[in-house]
Amino acid sequence: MFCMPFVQTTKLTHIYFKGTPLETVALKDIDLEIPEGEFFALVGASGSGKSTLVQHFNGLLQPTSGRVSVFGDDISTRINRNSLWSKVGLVFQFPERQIFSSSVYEDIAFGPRNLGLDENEVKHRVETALKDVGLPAGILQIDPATLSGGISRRVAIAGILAMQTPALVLDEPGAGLDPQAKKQILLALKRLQLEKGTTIVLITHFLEDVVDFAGLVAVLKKGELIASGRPKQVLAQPELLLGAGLEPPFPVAFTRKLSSKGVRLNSSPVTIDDLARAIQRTYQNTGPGDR
Amino acid sequence: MVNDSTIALRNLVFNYPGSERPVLDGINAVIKNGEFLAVVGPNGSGKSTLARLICGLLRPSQGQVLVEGLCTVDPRNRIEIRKRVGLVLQNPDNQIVAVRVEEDAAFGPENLNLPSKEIHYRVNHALEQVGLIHLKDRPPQLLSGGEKQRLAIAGLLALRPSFLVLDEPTSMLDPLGRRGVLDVLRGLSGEGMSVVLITHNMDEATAADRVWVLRDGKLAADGTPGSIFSDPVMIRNLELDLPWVTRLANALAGYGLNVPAGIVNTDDMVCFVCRLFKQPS
Amino acid sequence: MLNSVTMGQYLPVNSPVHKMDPRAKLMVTVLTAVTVLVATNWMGILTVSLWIGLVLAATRIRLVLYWQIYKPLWLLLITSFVFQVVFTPGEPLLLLGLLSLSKTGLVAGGRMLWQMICLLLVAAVLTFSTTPIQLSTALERLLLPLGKLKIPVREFAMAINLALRFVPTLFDESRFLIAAQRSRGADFTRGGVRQRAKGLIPFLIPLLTNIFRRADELAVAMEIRCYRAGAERSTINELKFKLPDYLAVLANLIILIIAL
Repeated sequence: MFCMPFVQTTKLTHIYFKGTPLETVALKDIDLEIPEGEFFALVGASGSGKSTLVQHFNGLLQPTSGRVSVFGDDISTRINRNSLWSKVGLVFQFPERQIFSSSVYEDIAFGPRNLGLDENEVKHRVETALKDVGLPAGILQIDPATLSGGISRRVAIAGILAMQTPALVLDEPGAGLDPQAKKQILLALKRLQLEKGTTIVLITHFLEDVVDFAGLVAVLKKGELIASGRPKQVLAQPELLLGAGLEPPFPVAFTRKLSSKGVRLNSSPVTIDDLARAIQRTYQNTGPGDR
Repeated sequence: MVNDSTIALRNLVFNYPGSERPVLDGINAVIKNGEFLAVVGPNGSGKSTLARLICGLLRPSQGQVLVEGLCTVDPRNRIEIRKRVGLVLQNPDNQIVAVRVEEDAAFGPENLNLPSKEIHYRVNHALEQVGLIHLKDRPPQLLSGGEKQRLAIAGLLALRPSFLVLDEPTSMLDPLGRRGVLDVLRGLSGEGMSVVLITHNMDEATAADRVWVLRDGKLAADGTPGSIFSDPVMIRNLELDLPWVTRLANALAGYGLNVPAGIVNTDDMVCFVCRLFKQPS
Repeated sequence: MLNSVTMGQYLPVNSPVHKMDPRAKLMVTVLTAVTVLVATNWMGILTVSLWIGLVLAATRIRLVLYWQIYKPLWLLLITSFVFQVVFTPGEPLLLLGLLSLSKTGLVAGGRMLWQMICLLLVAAVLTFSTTPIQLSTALERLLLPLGKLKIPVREFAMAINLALRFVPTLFDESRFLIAAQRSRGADFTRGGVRQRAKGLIPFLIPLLTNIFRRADELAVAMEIRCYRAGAERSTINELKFKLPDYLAVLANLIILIIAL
């Protein structure tokens, strides 16, 4: 089928420890569709249910009620769930914690080997993945324990990329890294989406990154989906974002501050360039330069 | 030097054992009492090493660190230095010692063997300062990341330090947690606490009184946020990431609106734009 | 996040047991445990069972939470019971092939099962109602006389506190690693014993590394807050033996005598 979405959920509800004193509703009635080949951002404060939601996408969790289908297959059957890891790569938060081998090569090769590929193909995939995350082939024989935080993060991500799954889900891949290192990772993901058609689902709370990289965004608040759509529309609503415990992108927050001082711009800019243009236009129309 | 209330770095050099290239290479500077200093620089520029040297957790390979006149290498000064300089680490989970918020904040004063009454007094005050007093009976494990970092700050405040050093305290937090920690730091700085904030978020750095830029182990720049982030040559040479306000200023310049140098924080920029619209020409 | 109640987890509840001096609680725990182990007559067994029931009620913690600690252990309990029953010699009541069930066997198995359940409950009461820091302070104060024999009591007490503090961390790390490695196709259930053991490497190695890294950082955080191994520490809530503490210990001594 041409238009089959990557993920479709209907009334997805997930309750942890149902029927115990510790019962917590993590997700409630989520209806969501993620198109194949999309760069999809999932945003929300800590504890909003983002991580729980994406663990349904590769079969680690199944819904308490409601339906989830991934690439058209219902995940309620064990067979479908058990093969999902080979279709959906999942990068957890701080994935460098999962590195276990004494060489970078062996660690990246773990996933591809579990796929049952022959050693030539494994080697090829390890090298491609390393290049995708922007690391030199020279580090393949190095012990990962000696690498810096930013590099080992990228090695861990390469370990997922090497499985060459048609979809990738990443939970805050840039957390704790400096801005340059974070940007490199996001650019690598964007390249995969554009060049190989990989579906990317990015969990983040940096909304500026969503504006720059994602085609669609969904906002979660305390387990409920409160908005979804194009970033330029969804992220231009500061009250909605603040209500969800998020920090609106700088241009949005700035416009809001201006309007609280009585200066209204005649558009709702989401990028820096749009903001500068809006200020200049408003200035031309109403400001002293007009007179 | 009896009344010295600064931290002085004198020709500070640090090599990790077995490594040729020094992580820090000849730093001469003074951290004044009561100032809010931001230390920025890319990963690997020596920021964290500097934090650990200032607290006396690491010994300089050459040169010295003097905390209020006390040399950090002298083992007899160790406790006195710990009492004066607190350090908050990056990971909020790894600094928790106890299973109740109040007990955790009390860990420092307990180690000083202070009487129970004094500990209670200090802990209550510290938890109030960071806005966690209402959670004092909770298990810290159930706090959010931002609250955990504020608890780590409270645990140090209970030791009544003069200097608070924070090594990328917000880099693992969500936006609300980040804002909560920064508000606490601003409040403490307003009360006269010396704050040394190590960060790679340039917007956080613009809130400081002074910014140090570390690069390849050297102190490449030292000045007010306005003077550093408004200097295009410096920014290019040091490959600094830009604060949002500076990016906006650059974009506005592209549309023929020139923002005066020195405007690097949001409030100043908002004022500038308001004046632009309202002032009669 | 803590997702389930595990052994060694403090539960903040306002109860008379929580308010007791941790030293008294430690003494009662040890005394009760001894009573459970030495009790042979029915009178003793009944009294100590009632005593434990009373203590449980006094903690004001819901019984469901006590039940949770047995969940991972029931297999162990049942197996030990069966072994005890089968391997205790005695006059057979029932023959199942080569196995014989005797009355002595059943009694011995039942007694052991009762002992294990009681000991777990007693330990649970202590850890549910006492924070690790209180526990280590109590241990330190009670054992301090041993310090004269050059036994590092303070370090030992702090080590216990930290071990308890790390229990939830250990669970979190394990949960993360199982999920993360399964996402890379790891299968902990495939193949024979050797293959399964090998399959555990991607799980165990990072588990150890991560825990050590965290412990390392915690050590720095403790040092920064003026911790010195072996140095004398005070405590925010001064320990004070009050009337209920004396009564509890006294009551427990009487029960021990009855059981003997």
